Amino acid sequence: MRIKLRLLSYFGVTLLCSLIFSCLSLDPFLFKDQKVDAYLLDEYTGFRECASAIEFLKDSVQPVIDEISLMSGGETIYGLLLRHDTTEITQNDTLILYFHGTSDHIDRYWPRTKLLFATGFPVFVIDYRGYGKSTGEPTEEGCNEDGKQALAYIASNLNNPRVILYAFSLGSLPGCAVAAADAKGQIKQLVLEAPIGSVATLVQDASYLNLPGSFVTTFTGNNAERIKSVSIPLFWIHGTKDETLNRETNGLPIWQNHPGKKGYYIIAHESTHRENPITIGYSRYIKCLRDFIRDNSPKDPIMISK
Amino acid sequence: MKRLNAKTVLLLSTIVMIITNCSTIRQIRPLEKGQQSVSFSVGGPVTEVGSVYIPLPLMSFGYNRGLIDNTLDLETGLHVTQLLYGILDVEVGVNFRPFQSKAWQPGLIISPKLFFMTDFSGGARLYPDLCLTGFWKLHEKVYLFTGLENWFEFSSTRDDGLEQKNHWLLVPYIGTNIGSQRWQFQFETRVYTPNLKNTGRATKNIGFGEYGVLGFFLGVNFTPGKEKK
Repeated sequence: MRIKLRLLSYFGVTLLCSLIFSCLSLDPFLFKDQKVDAYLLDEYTGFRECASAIEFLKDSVQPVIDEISLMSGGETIYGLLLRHDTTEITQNDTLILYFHGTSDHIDRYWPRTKLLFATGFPVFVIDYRGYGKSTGEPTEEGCNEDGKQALAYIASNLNNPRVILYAFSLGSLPGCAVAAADAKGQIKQLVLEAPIGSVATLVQDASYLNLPGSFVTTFTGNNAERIKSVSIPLFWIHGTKDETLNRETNGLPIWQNHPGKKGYYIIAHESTHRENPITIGYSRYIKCLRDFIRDNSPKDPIMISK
Repeated sequence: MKRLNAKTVLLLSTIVMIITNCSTIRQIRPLEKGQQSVSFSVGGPVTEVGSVYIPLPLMSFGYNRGLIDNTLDLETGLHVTQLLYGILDVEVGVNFRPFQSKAWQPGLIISPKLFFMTDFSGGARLYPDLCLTGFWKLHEKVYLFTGLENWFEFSSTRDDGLEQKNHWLLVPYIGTNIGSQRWQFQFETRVYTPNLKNTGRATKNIGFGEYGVLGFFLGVNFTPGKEKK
């Protein structure tokens, strides 16, 4: 009897402790946000994706940089506008809106941002709430709202140019949400690099099993579904050795479900999640983007190796 | 920055441990009828946390009760870490021992089990599991064991609409159980899904090249004396 009571007490205490703490949520773990007081850009010494692009672009036109802040759901969102000169952007211009990945802040993606600028078009990059100088804490809905407000800012403060939305990795969640909700047709083309298929796909790829996404997160982002209502041309880039987001389960369903005019896609042979521009080659990467934006893309997908 | 990396790794590793039973083999030594045993194990897949790889400290409690002397015992388990995140993950099954270890001839434990998981919001899963364990009684206080855990997924389609390609997940393991009849300590190494690629899964684990995920576990068993009848 004493043994039974002891055993019951073991399980009782365990259960009680677990239930007390069962309010723990895994949602915040999806974001690897880091706050900063100022952007260091070329001077940043932390990890930068495609860092060699800074050296590669040293002799090209350097951007005129404006730091911009905008309001989104009570939070202040910071971003950088890169232009070739101080001339105002007009309605006839094309602007690339860049949604970065899950880690750190703009400084980490600064070389990537400069590569986009090297296409010859101005670039607007934002930090989602909780990232970099932006206030608040990142949430799924919050990041989507930040993306929408960035688009609204472009319309109202930058003379409503043609927008090319470039979304990388986690940025594809707000990217597809914003593109799908763009009733005014402000976004003319969409570029998805190593996108997330859906939050459920993340869970099922990680577990190898058909586990519900709700086991892990309340996030419901589903780009493979959202893309069905996006009819603008799509350019998809994904590496065959993407160790983070499997190409077949994440990017491919988006590409297949996209009903609009396809742009083209690049299969970056042997490329990992962060190295697509490196694998493709910076010059070729810039040319491919420029061709896509100028509607001069090849019809068939291309496989590019290092 | 490392703190935040660790958070993300924890998330995705939690996904991993939800499915592929992250605990030691609960009952290597046979139980007499009515005899009870409680166990606790901690460990998990070796995962990158910050800049180092460590076995994740995933916790699990078990309870076994002998049904037939040295031949059949009931086994139940509760995965505590999942519960901390609002997922009830429990297991129930039996350990059937058709023959015992004699000298160098191994004993055999056949362990069919069911795992039930729910997040209390409509999501629930039931997975059958079959463990086949061979064990050697090297000494009164030392057991060596090795075996193969088999997880079965019967869905043909995943929740994201894609084809469910993995229907049989293999987890070979090897370990040792050391201690008295009352207290035993266990060290166990597992290789999760050695036949499947470990890339494209948003988490970095140590495996064998691009395949499998290595896991390490420590366990402790408390087995009180034979219950008075």
